[in-house]
Amino acid sequence: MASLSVYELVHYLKLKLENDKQIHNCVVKGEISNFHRHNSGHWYFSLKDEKARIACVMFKSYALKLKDSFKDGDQVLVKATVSIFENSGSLQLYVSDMKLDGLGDLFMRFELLRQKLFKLGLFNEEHKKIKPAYPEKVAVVTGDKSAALSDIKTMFKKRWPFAKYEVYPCLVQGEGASQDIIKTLNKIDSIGYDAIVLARGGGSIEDLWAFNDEELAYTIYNLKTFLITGIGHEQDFTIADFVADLRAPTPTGAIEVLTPDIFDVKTRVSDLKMRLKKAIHLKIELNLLRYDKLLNRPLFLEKNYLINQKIQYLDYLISKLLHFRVKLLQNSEKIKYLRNNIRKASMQQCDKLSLDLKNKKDGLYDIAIKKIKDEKIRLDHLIELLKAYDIDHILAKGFALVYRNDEIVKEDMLKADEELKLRFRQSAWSIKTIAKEK
Amino acid sequence: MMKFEEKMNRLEEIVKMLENNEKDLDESLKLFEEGLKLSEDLDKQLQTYEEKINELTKNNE
Repeated sequence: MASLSVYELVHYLKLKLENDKQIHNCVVKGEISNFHRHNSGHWYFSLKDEKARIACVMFKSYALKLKDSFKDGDQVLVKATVSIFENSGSLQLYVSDMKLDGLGDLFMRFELLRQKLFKLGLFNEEHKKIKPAYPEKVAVVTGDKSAALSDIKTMFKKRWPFAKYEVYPCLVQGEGASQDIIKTLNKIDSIGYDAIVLARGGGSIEDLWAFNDEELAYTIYNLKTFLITGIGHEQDFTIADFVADLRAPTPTGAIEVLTPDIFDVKTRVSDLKMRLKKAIHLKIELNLLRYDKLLNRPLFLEKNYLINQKIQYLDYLISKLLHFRVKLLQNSEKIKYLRNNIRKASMQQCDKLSLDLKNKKDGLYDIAIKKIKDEKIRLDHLIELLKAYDIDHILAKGFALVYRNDEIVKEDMLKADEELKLRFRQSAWSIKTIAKEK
Repeated sequence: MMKFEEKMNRLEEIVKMLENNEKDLDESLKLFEEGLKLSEDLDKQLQTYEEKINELTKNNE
């Protein structure tokens, strides 16, 4: 088999393409990516859709004719010829005309998803987990054998060789990449690590599209493990960056942010050690001071301090006791005095009461006697009246009574030669007895 | 076995307690002993890695 030189092959292909009428001056629809205006005035960019991409060049002479300005993400229609740049063997579109065809579709989708998830609160600060200060077990999710991975390894060695990191190679672009990342993250989360690094080197928006997946966003949101992203370059933002606990601009940056510098940590440890020693010395010194202060207390300085104090206290107690005894005696005197007083007073009271009783008794007797006397007088009077009534009765019959002075004289009381009074009912007569007749 | 971060946190906690004079002498001494051991552990771990780095950089030169 005859061999071809590389040039012969590439040149053959170039001619084949240029002579293909089907694609000569064709119109291609796609999205601008990696747009670059070279100093020479030529434009270099890629044209892409979700499934393919092709490098484009637009020479200064054509570019100057265009009125619109273009940038990454612009959806455009280009008029171009397909050819090969022989020096690099790369297939290129030589663009002669270009116009905008609406807003770049991927940018639109990115923006819509970003806004949706933002409103749902997936990016809220309160959901962000705290970065471990000294991560020891780290999972690295990135492209297998990628430049990003070797940067990450270097950075770990340089800053924090302490970390035991495990690499989980993943598809990081193209079909199935998002699903692969999701599966890997869930697996890592179930194993348990101090932190996850999700990294990918720079690329176009299409290259990074796997990180703008909605399901991936929810997966990251639901992780129990702290996750830091380092995707693309400084200016690249993906949905994964927004939902991550922390976003670093690049893979290298992610390790720089995640890990402490071993030399700083060393300094910190020796500083803590110094403070530890200083603190304990101070503590001991303070205790010594306290001890010295105690030694200077009279308890230790004066002999018999404790005994003296006790003796003093005893003296005090004795004096109290004596005082109490005096008081006791005073009180018993007082009690005696009061008892006498009470006795005296009660006796006086008794005497007074018995005298009173006697007086009352005597009074009662007098009253009774008087009463009896009065009654007797009344009775006598009544008797007199009764007698008088009897006499009147006799007188009324014409008889007379004989009186000596005012006393009625009975027969045996009469004497001879005596002046008497003779009383009739109507009149009285003075008479004189002569003698008793025989 | 305590993690590096746990050791660092414990060491910081001990230093703070001692500096704030929170504990009595006995306990302070115990804490000091623990803290010293931690700081030496950490030192040793870091030393190992530092040596390793130096070795690696030497090999790369």
